[in-house]
Amino acid sequence: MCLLLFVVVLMTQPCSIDHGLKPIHSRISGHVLFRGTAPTTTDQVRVGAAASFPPSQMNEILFSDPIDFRRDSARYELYLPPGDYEVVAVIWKEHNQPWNISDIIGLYGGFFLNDVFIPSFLPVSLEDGDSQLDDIHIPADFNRVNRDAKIRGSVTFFGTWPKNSGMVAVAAFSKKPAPGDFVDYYFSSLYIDYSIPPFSAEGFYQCRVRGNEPVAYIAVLWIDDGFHLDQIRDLGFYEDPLEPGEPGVVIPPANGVLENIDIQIHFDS
Amino acid sequence: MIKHLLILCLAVPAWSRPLNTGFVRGRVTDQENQPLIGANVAVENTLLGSSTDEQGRYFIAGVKPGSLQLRVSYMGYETRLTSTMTLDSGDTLNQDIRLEAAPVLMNPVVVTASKHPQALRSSHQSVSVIPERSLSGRQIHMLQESLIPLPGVHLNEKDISIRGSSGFSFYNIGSRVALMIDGIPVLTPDFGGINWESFPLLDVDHIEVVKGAGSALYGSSAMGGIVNIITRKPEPGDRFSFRAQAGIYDRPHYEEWKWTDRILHYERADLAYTRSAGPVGIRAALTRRVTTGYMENGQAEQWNASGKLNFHKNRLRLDCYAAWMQNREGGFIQWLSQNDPFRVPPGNREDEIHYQTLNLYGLAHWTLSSKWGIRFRISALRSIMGNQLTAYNPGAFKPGLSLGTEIQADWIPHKNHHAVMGAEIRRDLTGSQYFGNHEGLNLAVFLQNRWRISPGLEATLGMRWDTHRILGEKEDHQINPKSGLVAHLGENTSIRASIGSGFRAATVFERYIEADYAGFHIIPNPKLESETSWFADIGFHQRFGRRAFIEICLFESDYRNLIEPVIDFLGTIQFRNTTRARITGCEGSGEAWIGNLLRVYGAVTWILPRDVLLDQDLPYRPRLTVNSGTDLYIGPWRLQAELRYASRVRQVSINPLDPRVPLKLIAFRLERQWRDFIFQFSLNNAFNYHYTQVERRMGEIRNAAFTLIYSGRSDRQPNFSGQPRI
Repeated sequence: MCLLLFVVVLMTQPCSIDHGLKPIHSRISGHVLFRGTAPTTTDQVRVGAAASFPPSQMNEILFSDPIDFRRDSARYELYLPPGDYEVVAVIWKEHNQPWNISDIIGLYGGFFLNDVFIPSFLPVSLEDGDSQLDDIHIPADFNRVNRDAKIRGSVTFFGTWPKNSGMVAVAAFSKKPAPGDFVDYYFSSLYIDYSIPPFSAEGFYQCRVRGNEPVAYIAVLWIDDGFHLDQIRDLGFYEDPLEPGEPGVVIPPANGVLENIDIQIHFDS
Repeated sequence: MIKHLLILCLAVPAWSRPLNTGFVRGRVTDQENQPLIGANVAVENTLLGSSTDEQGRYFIAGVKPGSLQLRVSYMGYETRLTSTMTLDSGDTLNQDIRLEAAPVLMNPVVVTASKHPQALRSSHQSVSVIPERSLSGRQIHMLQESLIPLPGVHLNEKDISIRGSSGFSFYNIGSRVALMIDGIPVLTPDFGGINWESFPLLDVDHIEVVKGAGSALYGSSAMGGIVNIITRKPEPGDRFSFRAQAGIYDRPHYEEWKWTDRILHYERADLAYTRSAGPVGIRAALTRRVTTGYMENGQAEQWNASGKLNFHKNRLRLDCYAAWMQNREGGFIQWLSQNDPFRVPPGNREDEIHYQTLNLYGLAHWTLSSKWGIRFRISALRSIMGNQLTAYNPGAFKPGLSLGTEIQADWIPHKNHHAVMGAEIRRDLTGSQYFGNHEGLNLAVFLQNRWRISPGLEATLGMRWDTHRILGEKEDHQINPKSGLVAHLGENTSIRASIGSGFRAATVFERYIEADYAGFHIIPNPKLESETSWFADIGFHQRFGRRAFIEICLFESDYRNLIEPVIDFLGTIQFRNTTRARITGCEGSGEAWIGNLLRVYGAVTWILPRDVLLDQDLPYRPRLTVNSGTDLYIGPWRLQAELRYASRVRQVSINPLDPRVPLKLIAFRLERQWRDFIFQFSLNNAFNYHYTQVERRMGEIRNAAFTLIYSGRSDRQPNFSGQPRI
């Protein structure tokens, strides 16, 4: 019987045999068209695609190999399983820092209007394993991550933390995001600092932004312990000292630090 | 407390020792009247016993006069219980015993489930045994490969899971399966992980795998099960043996995946020498393993050396064992891309992992009388890990040290009871710049009684109390009970059931690690609590003469506070008590001989591994696994075909969008025995099937190997090659 099986193996080698995993041929490709200069702290830049926006978790983004960010235009190829992808983005990563969703510097479907990057996106669709979409060119703006100023402060928590707390973050926005509008949350954020551990009584944050430009909203964001990006919510925000209850607008000096931008969070309320 | 226990154990048997005793002697042979060396002969319902010498002779002194039976066992032969004989005071009873070679494993004696020798059929827990003939017959390259055919056991690369207890963590960190060598735990003190390479292959006599919670006798980490490697004893006379293996990897099936023009290969050589003279026996073994791996940075170089000293005089047996291992291997965390899956990202090309372990133990068995026996052991485990940067930062890793001692008393107060009681102390010292310096202390006491209620019914009740403490943290107390029942419905049929609890204390690594690795930032969690579990199973065993058996088992485990690495979207990992899980399943296994030429065997396991809180499958657990094969014997030749299947895992932790496929591996093996030599050829992953068990780490590709074994004893050990003499 074994001999028979052995012969069968040899005979069937040229036939169609399941070899399990195989190379992936479906892909999108094109050029990333950079504006501005890459910060000196740049570690790498990649193109990423997600089936839905926001992806429920960061690991639902499929990344390309690193692309050459030292040129005005860099070619990329991103191999993807067949399917629909709602967003294709260019993501920047800083040396010795993790990937940060606030560091999206380009979007397929985005465009520049008077040198200002307008975040909008177009879907792409790969119908089968042989689909290849070329000319998926993506504009990208390094100015979003050229940050020369810092905002620092403390966050004090009062009351009981929700048991399912996974992460808190402090985010600086150029405008107040509309509740539930994830495009606003992830594209109008200037910086998101994730360094405050959940369940602490007090933490300190530092947001890195562009100097001499107004920061309209500094918020403390909460994410559940499943780290679902689509369930991000505001815990509170930096209030205007002169008008309590209203967001405080700050303008950090160029190459400077704006200190004592403190925030209080009351869980019970 | 230990002092008092010692006094008690030493004093009581002295009072109870009978003044007039007799002797039993004889010879154990096979069906061709050849002596069986090292066969175990025990006086039933006592602690008295002996093993046979080079001529197959045994001698048992101090036997109480009256009627008695002998139980004779030898791996590969049918265990035999003699008819009742009568011994008069001061007399010597001569009893020669002939054993029949068993084509299937016939009720061997096991030691792991109850911490004392017992017939497999009497074990209330599910136990699988891998005999030496399976180890050599499967032509394994690494020790863990020998576990693959067992029902309920699944290997995710090097990580072992028994009945779905574990998913995947690199190098078995925080293993829920306890690895033991001769009953002594050998999980690393810092990582709580398993180093399968720690022992020379030729040291392994057989392996016992206990499925389900074993914490009631073995404490932390045995919550999923136990793998107990039983090492060989020094043998009478002197003997040299070796095993050499050389293999070559094929190319990947897809041209575009080819990444090198080099010939990729693996080799290993194992040598062993044993000698006994009078009461003293020695054994020494040496292993060298080298591989290029089948992927970039997959190379490994390994040395093993071990020695065993055995002293056996009258009722005292002393064993001392030392095993040293040094391994240096490349680190392959994840592939470059799915279109380049056998290469690592450029930044990881220099990654290396080094480790070194030294295991030492001393074990004393003292049979005080037919009713009392004492077992005492001291053990030490030193392990140190490093990486390619160790040379530049020598203080980064310090050796982890685990020092343990255990005393155990066996007591047979009545022919229907066998009690085991004991205490264990272990001290762990660990240090690293990544998790700091920590000291752990574990104390435990345990008690178990096996009661033969009637000739066909046995019950077991046991409990262990553990206290576990990492200095500076709060103490953790655990009580783990267990009970079991075995009913023998005739000579060939038995049903058993067991229920018990288990726990696993969080390891130093899981609590305190703070490091950056392969793009992940790992942060500590000193507040981790112990995992706990409840386990129940029921099994049915049916034998069909000496040529076939089937075994079916249903089981359920309920886990609380499972410690899992939680990865947030920044790539930060922290070990947390996150999950409550329930794993329900069944497994079946069997083996049958058709004539003397054909053997078929198989094992099927189905589990439903549910995360109760998230209402989804636990990660890295296939629901269905199948291992089956067939052997064809033609004269001195043996041909084997084997299938290994595991269904596609439904959940993974790191890259859920990556394509995943079921595991489908087919292997062919050819073997020929000639005098003291065995020549083997194997073709593994014959269809060159590409798969990942963990995201972005390609499984082993097709490879072929030649193995040469010189046993030096084929005339006395007909089962060595896997072909039984029926």
